[in-house]
Amino acid sequence: MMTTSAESSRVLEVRNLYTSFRTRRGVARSVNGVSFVLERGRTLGIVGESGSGKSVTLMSIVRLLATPAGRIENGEVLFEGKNLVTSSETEMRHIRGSKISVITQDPMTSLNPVYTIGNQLEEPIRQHQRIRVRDTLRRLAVGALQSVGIPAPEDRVSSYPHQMSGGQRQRVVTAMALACRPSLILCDEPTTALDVTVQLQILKLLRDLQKEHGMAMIMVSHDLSVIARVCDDVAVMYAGRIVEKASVSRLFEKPAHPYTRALMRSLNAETDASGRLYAIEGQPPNVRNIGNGCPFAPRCQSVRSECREHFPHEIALSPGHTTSCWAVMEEAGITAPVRKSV
Amino acid sequence: MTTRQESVTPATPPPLLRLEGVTKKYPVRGGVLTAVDRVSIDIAPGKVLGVVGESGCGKTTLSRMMLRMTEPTSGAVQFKGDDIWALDGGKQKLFRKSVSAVFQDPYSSLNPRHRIDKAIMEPVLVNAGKGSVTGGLLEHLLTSVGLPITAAKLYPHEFSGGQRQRIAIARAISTQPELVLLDEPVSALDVSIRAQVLNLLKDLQHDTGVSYVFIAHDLSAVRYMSDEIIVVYLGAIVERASANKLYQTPRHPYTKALLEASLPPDPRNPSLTTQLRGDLPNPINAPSGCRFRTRCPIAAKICADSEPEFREVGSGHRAACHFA
Amino acid sequence: MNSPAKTTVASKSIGASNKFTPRAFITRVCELPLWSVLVLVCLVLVGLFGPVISPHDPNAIQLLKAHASPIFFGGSWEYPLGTDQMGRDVLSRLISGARISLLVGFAVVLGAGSIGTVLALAAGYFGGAIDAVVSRVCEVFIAVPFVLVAIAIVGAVGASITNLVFTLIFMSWAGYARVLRSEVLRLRELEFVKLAKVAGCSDSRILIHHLLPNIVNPLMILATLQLGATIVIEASLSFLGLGVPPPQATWGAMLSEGKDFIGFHTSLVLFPGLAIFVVVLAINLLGDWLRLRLDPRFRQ
Repeated sequence: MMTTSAESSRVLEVRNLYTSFRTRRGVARSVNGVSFVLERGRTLGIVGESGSGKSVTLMSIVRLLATPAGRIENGEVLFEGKNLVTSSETEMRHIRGSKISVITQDPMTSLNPVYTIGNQLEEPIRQHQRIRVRDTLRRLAVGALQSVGIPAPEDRVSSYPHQMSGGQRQRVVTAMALACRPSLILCDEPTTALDVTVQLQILKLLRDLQKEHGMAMIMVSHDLSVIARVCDDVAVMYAGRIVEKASVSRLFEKPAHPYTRALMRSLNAETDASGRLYAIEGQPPNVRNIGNGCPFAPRCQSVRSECREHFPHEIALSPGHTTSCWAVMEEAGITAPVRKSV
Repeated sequence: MTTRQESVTPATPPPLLRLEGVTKKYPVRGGVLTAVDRVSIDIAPGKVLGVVGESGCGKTTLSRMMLRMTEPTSGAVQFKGDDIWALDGGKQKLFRKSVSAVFQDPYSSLNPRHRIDKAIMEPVLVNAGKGSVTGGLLEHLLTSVGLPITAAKLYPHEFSGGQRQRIAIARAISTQPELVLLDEPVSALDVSIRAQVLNLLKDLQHDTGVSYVFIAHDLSAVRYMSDEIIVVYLGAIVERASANKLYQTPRHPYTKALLEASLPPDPRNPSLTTQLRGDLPNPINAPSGCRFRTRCPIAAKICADSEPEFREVGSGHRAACHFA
Repeated sequence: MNSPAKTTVASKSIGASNKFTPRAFITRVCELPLWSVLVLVCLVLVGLFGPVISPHDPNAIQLLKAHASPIFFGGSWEYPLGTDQMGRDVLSRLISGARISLLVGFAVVLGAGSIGTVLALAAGYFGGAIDAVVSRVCEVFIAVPFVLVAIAIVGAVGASITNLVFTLIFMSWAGYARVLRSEVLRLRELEFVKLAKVAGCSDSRILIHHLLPNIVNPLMILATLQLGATIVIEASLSFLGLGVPPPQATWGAMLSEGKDFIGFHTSLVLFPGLAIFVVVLAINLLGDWLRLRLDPRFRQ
C-alpha cells in the first residue's frame, strides 16, 4: 500500500480508542472514542480534569495500563505506521524508552531512591543502545545532565534523587526520557507538582529540547496556561471524549464548545456582573455511569434535548478546528460531519 | 493591616490575631533551619489576608503557629491581645471556638469512619456541649455550603473532592468562628470546581463577616479573595500590599516573577522566559544579606552585604528590597 | 442570607453507589469465602454444643475397646472415628479438643489484642518517651524465641489452661502493638486528626473517637490471622506436654499420644492433624479475604 506524504510525516495516529477499567462497582469507560493525529515535530496538548481520561489515553498509547482491570477495548494506535494495540509485549518493550518516552507528574516516584542519578541515566542507554563500556556510559550521562541545564554535572552524576530539588529531579527525568532520542515524548502533567516559578523553567526546557531534536510531543495537563505556553495544537477532553480540537491560538481566540469556554473563564479568573467568579455548576463526571449522550450535558448552559440522547458527531468550524456540540452545530449552521482522514 | 504607628482613634480594638516577630527554628543536621524568620502580621476583624509563597517558604509552619499547633521559637502570637500560649482554660476554649481551619487535602480532612453530621458538629460538641448540637444548626450549615440535608447521614467516601471541601468548610464555620485559616483550600480540586468553592467562601465571608487567612500559591485566587496580601520567601515577608496594588504595582522582584509565571499567557506570543535563575537555596544556610539574591535578576553587591529593610514603598505598601 | 449558595449537589446524585439491590447483595455474598465461613461456623457450633453432641465421654477409658478402627475401615457406628490406645472415642475427644482450641484461641486474641491496641495507641500518638519504652519492650518480646519462654513459665508455675492462656497472651501482645503502632503513626499525620486538635478535641477524644475506629480494620485482620496461629501454637505446646494437662483432650495432645502408633493405627494422628490443618487453613483464608476487603491499600 502506498503511503501518502501526509501520512509519512505523521508520527502518531489514534483512531477510535476505547479504554475501560473493570472495577468493583462496574466498568468505567475512561476513554470513549478518542481520535487524533500528531505530525512530526509538533506538540499536542490534551487538557481535561479528573475523569477526563487524558492520562489513560497516554497510558493506552504505550500500553502501560494497570492490568487486568484496564483494557483497550477497541481502536488503533498507529505509531510510525505500526499498530501498537496489536503489538506484542516484546515489541512494546523495544519501543518504550527508545522510540516513545514518558515523563510523568511526580518526580519523587519517577526516580528510584536507591540508585544514583548517573546509574538511572545510564540504564536506558544500556538497555536500548547496548553500550556497555563504563566510561562511555558515564560520559553520556554527564552530557545528558548538561543538556538539561544541571550545573556541575560531573559531581551531580553520583548523587541520589533525595539530594536534589523537585525541579532538578524533573530535569533528570527529562534527560532520561531523551537519552535514546525518541521520536515521540508523552508528558503527563510534568509540571503540576512543581512550584510555579520552576514550572516555567521546565516547560522552557521541554520546548527547547523538542525544537532541537525535532521530536513530537503530547503534553497532558489540567492547566490551560501550561498548554498555551508549549503546545501547537490542543484537544479538550471531558469524561473520555474529545469535545474540541484546534490550534492553540485558535482555541484562545474562538473557543467553541461550552466546556472550553467555561475553562477559559476559569483560567482568566473572570467575574460576572455581581463580582463572583464564573463557575461551572455541578459535579465532575462519573465515568462508570456514562450513557450515550454528551457527558457535559448535566452542567452545560446551552444544553438541548438531543444532548442527553446522542453524543454529537464532530464538525469542522474551520480548517484544523473541530468540535462536537449540538448547540454549536445549530448556531453555526454546520451539520456535515468531519470526513475521517484516510 | 495597621502600620507601626498606633491608630489615632483611642478605642481601637486589638487585632483579631497578631504575630509579632515570630520566628521558628529547627535544629537539623548541618545547622539550623529557619522556617519562619521574624514575621509580624496583624489580622483585623472582617478582613481577608492572603498569603502567597511557594514550597519551602514557611507558610505551613506559619499557619501551624497561628493555630497554636506549633510554638514559636521566639516572638509572640496574640489572639485579641492575649498570648495564645498563656491562655487559661476558659480562654483557650474560646480560642478554639473562635479560630478554625480548612486544609488542602479533601481526602484526608474527614475521618472516614465518621458520618457527616458527626464530622460537622464535632467542634460544637467539644466547645459548647451536647445541648448545642441541634438538627436545626446542622441543616443551616449544610444549606450554607450548598449541600442537601440528605448528606448528613452519609460517609465521606460517598462524596467528591469538591463536596468534601464543602463539608470541611461547614465544619469550620460550625462554631461561628471569628477567624478561619484556609490553607490551600482549592489547590487539590478540579479547575471547574475551584470557582464554586471560592465563590462559596467569599459569600460566607460577606454574610458573616468572618476573617480569613487565605494561603495559596495561585495568585489569581488569592487576589479574588483577599483584601491585603503578603508574599513570603524562605520564611520572611518580602512584600505586603493591598490586593489590587500588589497586582498593579508589584515592587519586589520575587513578586514580579510570581506574577509573570502565574498570569495566563498570551497564546499568540507565549513567553517561556523567566527572570528567575536557579532553584530555591537550601534553607539551612540561607543566603547572606537578601535571601532572594541568588535568584534575583537585579541582584547587586549591596544585596549580599546587607539584608534589605522591610520598608514602606508606597501608601500601605511595604517591600524588602534595596531597589524597590 | 443575601446570596445563598446554590445547592450544587442534587440529593440523588450522592449515596447512589451504596443502594441495596438484590443483584449487588448476591454478588457480595458470593465473594465471601464460603468454605472458610462454613468450617468456622461448624467449629463454633461444636465448641458451643460440644458436650451435648458428643457421643461418648471423651475421657472414658475402656481398655477392652482400644484401637478400634474408624467406620471407613471396618469399624462400627458406635465409634465412628475409632478409639485410641486407651479405648477413648476419638470423635468425642476431637470435639472436646475443639472447645479447648476455641477457648484458648479467643481468649488469647482478645487479651493480646486489647493490650497491643492500647499500647500501640499510646506509643504512636504520644511518641517521645512512651514510644521509646514501648517499642524497645516490643522488640525484646518479639525477638525472644517463645517456645523457650513457654517452657520456662510452665516449668515454673505448672501447666494449666489459665497458665497457658496467660503465657500465650504474654508472648503475642507485642505483634499487635508493633503493627498497630505504625498504623497509628500513619493516621496521626492525616489532616482530620490535626483538624480535631484545631477544634479543641482533647487527646482522649482523639484517641477514642478518631484513631481507634480507624484501627479496627487492621486489628480485625490481625486478630483473625493470629487466631489460626494461636491454635497451632497451643497444639504445639500440648504436643510437647507444656499445654493443657491430661486428661483433658486437645488436638496437640492427641497428636502426641498418637505418634507412637503412627504405623499401626495412623488415624490416631491423622484425625487431629487434619482437624488442625482444616481449621487453621479456613481461618487464614478468611483473614486474607478480610485483608482484601478491608485494607484500603489493597483496594483496586
